Amino acid sequence: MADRILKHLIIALCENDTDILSQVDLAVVVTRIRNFVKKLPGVLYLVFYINLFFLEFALPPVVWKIRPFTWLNLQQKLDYLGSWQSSRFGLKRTAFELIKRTCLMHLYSEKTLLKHMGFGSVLTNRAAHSTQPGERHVS
Amino acid sequence: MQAQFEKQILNGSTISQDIKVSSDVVIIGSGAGGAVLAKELAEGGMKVILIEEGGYHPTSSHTDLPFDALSRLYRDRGFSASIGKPFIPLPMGRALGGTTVINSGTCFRTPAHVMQNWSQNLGLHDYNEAEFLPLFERVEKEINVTDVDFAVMSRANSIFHEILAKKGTPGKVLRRNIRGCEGCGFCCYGCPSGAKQSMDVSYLPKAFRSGAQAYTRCKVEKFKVQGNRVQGVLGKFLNSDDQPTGYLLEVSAPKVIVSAGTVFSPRVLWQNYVSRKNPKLKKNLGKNLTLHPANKVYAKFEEEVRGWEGTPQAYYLEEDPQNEGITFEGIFMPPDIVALTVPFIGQKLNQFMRDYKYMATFGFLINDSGTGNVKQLPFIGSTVFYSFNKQDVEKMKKGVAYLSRIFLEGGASVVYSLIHGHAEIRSEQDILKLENADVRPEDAECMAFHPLGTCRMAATEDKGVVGPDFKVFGWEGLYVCDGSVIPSSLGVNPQVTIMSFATKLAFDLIKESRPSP
Ligand SMILES: Cc1cc2nc3c(=O)[nH]c(=O)nc-3n(C[C@H](O)[C@H](O)[C@H](O)COP(=O)(O)OP(=O)(O)OC[C@H]3O[C@@H](n4cnc5c(N)ncnc54)[C@H](O)[C@@H]3O)c2cc1C
Ligand code: SF4
Repeated sequence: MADRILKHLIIALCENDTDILSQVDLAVVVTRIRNFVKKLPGVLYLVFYINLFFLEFALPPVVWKIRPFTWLNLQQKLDYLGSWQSSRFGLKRTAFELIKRTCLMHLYSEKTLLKHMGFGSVLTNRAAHSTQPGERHVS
Repeated sequence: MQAQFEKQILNGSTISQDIKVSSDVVIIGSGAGGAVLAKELAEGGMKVILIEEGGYHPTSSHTDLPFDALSRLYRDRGFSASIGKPFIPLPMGRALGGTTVINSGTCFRTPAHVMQNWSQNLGLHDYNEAEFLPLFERVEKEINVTDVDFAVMSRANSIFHEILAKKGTPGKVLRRNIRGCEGCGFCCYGCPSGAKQSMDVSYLPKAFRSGAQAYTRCKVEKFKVQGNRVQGVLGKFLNSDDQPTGYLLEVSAPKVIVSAGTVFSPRVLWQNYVSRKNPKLKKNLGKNLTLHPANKVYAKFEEEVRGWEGTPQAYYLEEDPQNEGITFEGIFMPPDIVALTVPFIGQKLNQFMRDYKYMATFGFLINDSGTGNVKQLPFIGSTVFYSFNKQDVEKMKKGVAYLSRIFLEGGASVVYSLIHGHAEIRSEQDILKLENADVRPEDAECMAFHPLGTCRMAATEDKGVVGPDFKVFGWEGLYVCDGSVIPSSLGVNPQVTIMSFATKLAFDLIKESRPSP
């Protein structure tokens, strides 16, 4: 279930831009997110999943909606996420940011995507200085 | 191949027995405070044991992925934050070398006016420019503090310089602790070429060559205590998942120095109930926290800026042009990390990322007024609480407005800010709107990198936790020396101040250990 929500979330965050999404394997990104979150300290781990389920089921008092997030169409999803992002309540925005940041960090650490978006020189520049270019410590 | 000095580093996760050792001094934490102490004390002839919760990550192990660095070198995978209005991400290092392994390498001496304040308000009369000059010089020599070369400066910084120079008010290049930096822009993720003179490549190898020994992946929780005298520490070895292996380290030493950083030194003291023996400590322990909240703007230009090529923090404004306690410094985040901070979703986010090669950024930190504290919560541990006051929010607005004006005057088509409700600034009108807006503390999104002050130094125990001799009031053999003892916000990056404090303590202890003729 969490994997499904995360996948829908990433697609919505990028507004289903196929130019971006075609560069990554979403299942791999989601697995990385799950592994990353697993190793967060207990409280953050809990907060992450509580937020994720609040986001999916739109539970009061945070927000109220009859249909879960993953059932919405793209425009509805964007409007819904926009309401979290621009909420007057700082806490709600922070809750959303925690999930959004985790997703985007993993999406944009995909090298194929970075290259595709014109950041290839970031990678070659680093590789020139690094003794261990490209080695990934997957948790 | 293992360097000779690396034999002195024992990896706690591979130790499969309890260990009992003794030394003259045991130091908890190996960052800017602990590493300097270890080297100076070991060179001064003392037997030193250093205990570090994080692992040892030699230069050759730094990879080219920020995400990977967050997992290995940062506490809580880079997701530490303070609770309050607003929530402030507060990244900290956890590795041999502490936060210096992931810092930007910017170096400032303690401003003279700040030291004057300490003297007037806290009675720290020996903490003045003249006394500290030789300490600053020693530290700067050890870590090779040098002006950044314009040739390796990120274009994001040099654009800013060009605009200011045209106006006739140029800033200055920053000074950094580097040796042969080629400007790969990866400083905050572990310098892959060893150019940045963080503690793991500067002070610590020297400490080890002089006989100091380090236990990494070992977390200290308990002191060995007799009466009000601390006589050593007990640490738990951790496995690669940060869980205790079940084996313990016991170090007997007449002097224990806590250098676990501003957020964790109070925890070590609390865990040992130091304020039961001296209840007066309660008044200041964990209090007086300052963070230097930092913010930035992104500015889109027509030229390809490619700000990731070159040193990201290389230029600054010496004096806040509006004299408001704001220090402006260059900054640039690599594209694989910047998405975290983009205030948009959907096509706007995608467009921002596509445009990122055309963007310059510049940041600032504010000299805050010390409204935060660190508390020890059940099941959670050390937790940072911090909220802006009205003045700090005003400084945030001023900083963003100032940078937006500079960039728009310099030809940027749009400036992006992180202040909620003011994400896009395209004109003077937008800037005025921000300046006149009633921004709430929770709307001033920012980050912080310089926690200070939770075990503040002062001449008397009603104002601080440690005295000018770094000793915890009411205790024998127990010292604190790291960011937590710095008495107030500095307004500039703190590592040189922390290292100079540590040098002072080391020299004092060496002097004390030698019988007077
Ligand atoms: C991203 C970033 C960029 C920065 N850039 C700059 C800059 O350019 N210039 C500058 O001057 N400053 C900069 N700083 C701040 C600077 O690096 C820190 O202020 C400084 O390193 C703090 O030194 P410290 O000794 O207090 O703590 P730290 O360097 O954080 O060291 C404390 C160590 O103690 C260990 N520890 C904690 N608890 C225990 C325990 N119970 N047992 C064993 N070990 C323990 C920790 O794992 C850690 O390694 C930056 C900080 C960050 C996060
Ligand atoms: S710019 Fe690169 S080489 Fe220079 S100090 Fe930073 S990480 Fe090291």
